[in-house]
Amino acid sequence: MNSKKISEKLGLEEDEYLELVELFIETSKSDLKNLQSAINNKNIEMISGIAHSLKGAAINLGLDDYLELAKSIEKTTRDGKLEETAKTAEIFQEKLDNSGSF
Amino acid sequence: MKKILVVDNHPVMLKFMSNLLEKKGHQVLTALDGLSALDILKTNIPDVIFADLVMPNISGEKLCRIVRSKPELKEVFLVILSALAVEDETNLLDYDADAFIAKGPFDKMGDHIFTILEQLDTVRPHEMPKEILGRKNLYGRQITKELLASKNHFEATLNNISEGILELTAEFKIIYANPAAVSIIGIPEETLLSKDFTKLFIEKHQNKIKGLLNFQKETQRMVTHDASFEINNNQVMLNIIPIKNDVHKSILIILKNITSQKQIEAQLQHAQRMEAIGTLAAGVAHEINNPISGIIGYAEILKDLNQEQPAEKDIINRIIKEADRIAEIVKNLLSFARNRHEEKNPANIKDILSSTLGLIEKRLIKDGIQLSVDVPDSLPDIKVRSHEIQQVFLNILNNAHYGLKQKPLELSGEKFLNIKCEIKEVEGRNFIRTTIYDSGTGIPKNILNKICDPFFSTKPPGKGTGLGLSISHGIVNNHKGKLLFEALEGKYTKFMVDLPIDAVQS
Repeated sequence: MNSKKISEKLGLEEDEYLELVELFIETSKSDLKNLQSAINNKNIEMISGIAHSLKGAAINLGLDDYLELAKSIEKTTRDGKLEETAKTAEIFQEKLDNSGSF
Repeated sequence: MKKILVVDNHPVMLKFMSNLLEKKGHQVLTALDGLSALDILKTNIPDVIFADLVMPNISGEKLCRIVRSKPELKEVFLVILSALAVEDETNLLDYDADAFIAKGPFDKMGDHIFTILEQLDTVRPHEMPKEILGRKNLYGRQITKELLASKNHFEATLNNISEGILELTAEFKIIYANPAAVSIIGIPEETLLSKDFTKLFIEKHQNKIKGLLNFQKETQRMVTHDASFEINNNQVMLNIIPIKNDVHKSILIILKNITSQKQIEAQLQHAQRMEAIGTLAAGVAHEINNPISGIIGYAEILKDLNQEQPAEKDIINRIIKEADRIAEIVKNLLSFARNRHEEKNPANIKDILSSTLGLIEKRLIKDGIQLSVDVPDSLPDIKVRSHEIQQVFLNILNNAHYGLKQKPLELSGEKFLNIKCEIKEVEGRNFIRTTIYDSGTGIPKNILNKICDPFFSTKPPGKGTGLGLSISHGIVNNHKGKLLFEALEGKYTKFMVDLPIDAVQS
């Protein structure tokens, strides 16, 4: 993924874009924690709410990988496959952890 | 330069919007949910609000409605900025917003935002087309659509149950109220949301409510029937359920209106009291009657013996007069307590009312009281002792007249007295209900359950005996009817005399 390219596409300065992505990652880390416990408690409404919020921000920033993961979380939850939701959430988490320098 | 408020629960969105708009020289305020937005709106009037729809603590939809209901925010240009714009278009256009932007990649969104802000300088808000900007190129998302369906399902349930449901933040601010709660509390939803829940109660109860909400914060708590609280003249039971998850704490309140239940209980208690007092009164009256007859008898003998001494004769006459007064009081007391065995005859309420009004009408007119009488001709005859019923009506009308006269001029507004008769079914029996309503001084709450007690009177000494209503109560009871009343101090008094129709057959 090329941040310069995406930021150009979105009409933003590269450093401004990076700042937003950093904010996205920070926010998502705490969202993921909540998502984890929501999955443990089978709180469907909360899972959907968090996935919806993640999805919105991923679309905004053109982060297609995250977008696909968020969509998958929404879909598996709806289908009642919470185990898959948990797996996807883990992938999401790993991706966030490795994103340190983007 | 414009003052712009952005409300969205995602920090990325807030940051992006701040950067974007500040670069163009606008002043930007941000809020993470509807509740904090309302806080900001208390001291700021922005030119434009961009609001997300799906947010914790008061959703965007509610926020829109509240903004639209406040006169000072009338001129604010309201833009909904939501990913839901893609899925729920029809509902979306029902919102009272001025423009809609679907969330998408920032470049597209940025364009739409500027388009709207530019239009704002040239076009009048209500002339803008109602369309959703940015829907193109965004895929429809079935998933959220179905989520919406289940949300609508819950909403339908909440909108139609009779219990009031409220959700509060940990600081007791109301962030949700269903229609039942709105009607129990009697404050429109727009004003209710973001209000402090404890402030709905009278001051001396507020600390108690706070204690209940605070108590441990973990377990569910009930305020039951016996300890009910008052909101908006309604007696309510509370069920307080703390809700805690990792993201937010809130408190769910279930309100149950038990006003009418309480009223029925009060009536029952009152009836039992009346019965007890009646038994006592009958006993006392009977015991007094005998010695009084003795006193009068002996006084008559003394009078005969003192025919030639005017001074003594005068004293004896006074004894007889006073003793007669006692006898009269006792007689009245007995009519409260005892069912007289005099024959009941078919009579028409209309006739009884008009002969009663004949006695008092002139006085009412003289005091500037507007009298309205609504008695249908079609009412059936009922079996009653007419002179007794007339006494009941006269008592009530006299009290109404007194209350209307007592009311201070500056408070009285229009003085009116309405009389209405109708057929009413109560517990499977048909009654003729005569309602006598006056806009007089009303009755203070704390004496409401005493007004039928014998010798209880609010009138100054010499003006009333305190027996009028207790006698009336006894008479109506002896006719197997009911004497009901309600009153609001300083506003009105309403008496209802229910007399059974089936008494004609029996």
